[in-house]
Amino acid sequence: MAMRNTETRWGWPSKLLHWLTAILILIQIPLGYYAEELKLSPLKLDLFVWHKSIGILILLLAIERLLWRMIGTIPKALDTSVLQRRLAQLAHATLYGLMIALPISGWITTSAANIPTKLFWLIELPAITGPDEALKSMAAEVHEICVTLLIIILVVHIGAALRHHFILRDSILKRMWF
Amino acid sequence: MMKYLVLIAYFFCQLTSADQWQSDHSLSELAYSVNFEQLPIKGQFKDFAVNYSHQQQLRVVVDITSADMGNSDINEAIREFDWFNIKQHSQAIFLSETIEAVSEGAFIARGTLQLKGITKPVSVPFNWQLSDSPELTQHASMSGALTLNRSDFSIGSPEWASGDQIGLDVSVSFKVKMSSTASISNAPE
Ligand code: HEM
Ligand code: HEM
Repeated sequence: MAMRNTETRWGWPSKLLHWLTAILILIQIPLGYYAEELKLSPLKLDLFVWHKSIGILILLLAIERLLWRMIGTIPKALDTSVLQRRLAQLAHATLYGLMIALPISGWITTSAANIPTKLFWLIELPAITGPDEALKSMAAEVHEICVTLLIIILVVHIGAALRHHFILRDSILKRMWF
Repeated sequence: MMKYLVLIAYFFCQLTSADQWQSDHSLSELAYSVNFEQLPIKGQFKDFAVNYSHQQQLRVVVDITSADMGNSDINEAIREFDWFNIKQHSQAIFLSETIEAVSEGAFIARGTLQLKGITKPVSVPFNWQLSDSPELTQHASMSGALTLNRSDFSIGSPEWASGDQIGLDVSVSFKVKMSSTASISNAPE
């Protein structure tokens, strides 16, 4: 399997990073909502350690992916319509933005909430701000808005991928698959 | 033996040169630290009073309702039934029975701590340092640290009893400014 991306295909690092992130995000969203709804309990604290650990992992994968994308080529868009191409570009750019903004806003939330974090109970995540209740509420608000935006774009993103595959019957999904 | 006597004499000289000592609220702090998912988080009791007199020994009264851990959710949680249960137990009291001099300026107060309605023997090591003051009011600083096990006082039970999420060991530390107004004499007895 090719490592580098070409004009027509994704190389395996891009594919691997895409699907790994996809799985993690699809776990992360329900995990976040569920943990948030729980009343304070040992389970809630443990689930938040998982949530924060997976979230920072997503951040690292997103950075890795963007760097890999920048040093190589990427497959050309297939769509004939300029509008559709622009929309796809906008959606992808926003998804990358959210993969950065979500972990950072979550990180600010726990830091400002004065809660320490040991990722996967192994690595200490340093606080990026001091304790600050107002900042905590603001960051949590941003986190939640980002989550809503993420869900909307993902519905469109996944819907578009399925449309390409089953209705337009082109190679968009295939070239991202292995 | 001789050394011991000297220490005792020193201790009396240091601690009994004035009769009644009390803490200065604004210059004193009582802090604690406990592991939260394996990393320490800090808290403090903003209101507490330390009194020392030769007759009554050492007496520390802590207003549990003044606990602050720098996070509104945690502050709410620790006041609940499972943790401090402040509705029923708003005060903790340490009373010394004996005070032993260990070395110059260092002592151990042995006594009992009543916390969340449970009384247990506790030893509190502390340093006592008199500051030179020409005035009638005498000042001293008192500091020390000890570790308590929260399950001894049924704090965080039963759901949190394992200590996996919130540690069982609680490190307590204090820095207290003491002053004595009823200064009688500085002479060793
Ligand atoms: C399970 C559902 C998903 C499917 C079926 C899917 C499908 C696809 C496909 C087929 C592409 C390739 C588009 C092309 O070649 O032009 C793609 C790209 C992309 N996907 Fe997904 N995806 C899914 C989930 C996600 C998730 C959860 C995220 C992250 C939040 C995500 C982020 C992206 C991004 C950023 C790109 C653009 C890659 C680039 O241009 O560098 N996808 N996706
Ligand atoms: C892509 C990564 C992430 C996703 C998709 C995500 C998703 C979510 C969701 C769905 C919720 C529940 C709804 C809400 O209150 O917003 C949530 C809450 C939360 N997340 Fe994340 N999260 C991510 C990363 C992180 C990271 C890296 C951290 C911390 C290091 C974090 C910390 C939190 C916190 C503290 C809450 C509770 C917020 C509150 O108290 O209102 N999240 N997250």
